[in-house]
Amino acid sequence: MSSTSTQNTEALFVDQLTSKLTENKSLEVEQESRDNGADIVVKDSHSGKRIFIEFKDAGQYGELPISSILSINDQVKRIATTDTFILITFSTISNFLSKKLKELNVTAFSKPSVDDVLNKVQVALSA
Amino acid sequence: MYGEFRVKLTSFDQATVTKIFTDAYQNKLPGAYARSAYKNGNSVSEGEFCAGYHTNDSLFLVYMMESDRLKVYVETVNKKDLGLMKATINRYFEQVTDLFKKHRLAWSKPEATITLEECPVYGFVKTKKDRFKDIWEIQKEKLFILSGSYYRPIRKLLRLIFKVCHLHPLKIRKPCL
Repeated sequence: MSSTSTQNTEALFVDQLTSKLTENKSLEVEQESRDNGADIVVKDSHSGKRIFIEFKDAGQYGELPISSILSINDQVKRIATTDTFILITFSTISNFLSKKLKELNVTAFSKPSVDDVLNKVQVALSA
Repeated sequence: MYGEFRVKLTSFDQATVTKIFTDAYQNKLPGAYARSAYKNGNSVSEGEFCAGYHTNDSLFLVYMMESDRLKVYVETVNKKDLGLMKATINRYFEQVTDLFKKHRLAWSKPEATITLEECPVYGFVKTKKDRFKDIWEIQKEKLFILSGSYYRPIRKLLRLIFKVCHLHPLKIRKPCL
């Protein structure tokens, strides 16, 4: 998948995910939160729990580089322990990177559907 | 900004690969790791790399092999220059593949990725007018080169047109040989 088509897929995915999340009136959805460095931040207005959703693109060759862990690590350090961090990519994730993400308690999705992510958000908010 | 290149190795004995790198680059892994962005994060420890090398302006770290894939992390001190990063990846890639060639280690499927983090990217969008201008410039250049070398009739024709129009004789660019 080329970089441009990945960006288009990502933009479409973000739109669909945001519109479905905003259907739930108890959720506050913020896009491209610069303070926390995540692409989407979902906050449950009742419990105060937050879900940070980050998108990463591996470019033309389709495998997320291991060094992606560096920026994800920085982002995870900035959020509270009660918050959840979700990584979404339309590229593949190597076993090594997947292991490292689990160590950081990051839930990673490779080429997910919008419903996959919605389910994960609901589970994380209800936990 | 970080770089990574990957190759598939037909023979993937970790001990052999580590020995090849250690023999070629000495034991520079601790120094390279200490200079890399990984040293602060504790996300990937030094033990998860099998070799490393550093100069004053760049470094590389070789990850422990994952199946038949060898992955090399590349970092430059200047984190804003994309051209420098490309050149550094290409330089290390050439060195590593030369090393494999020397040890008769077959490799295939080369891939490289540059991760742009906090690196501003500047660009501009060309309008239709700009694109036509570019096409005209390229075609004009081609026409003049051709007319000066192989297509003398075109040169003659152009001279005739300019003569008829009472213009100055066309200065025809010499062909690039």
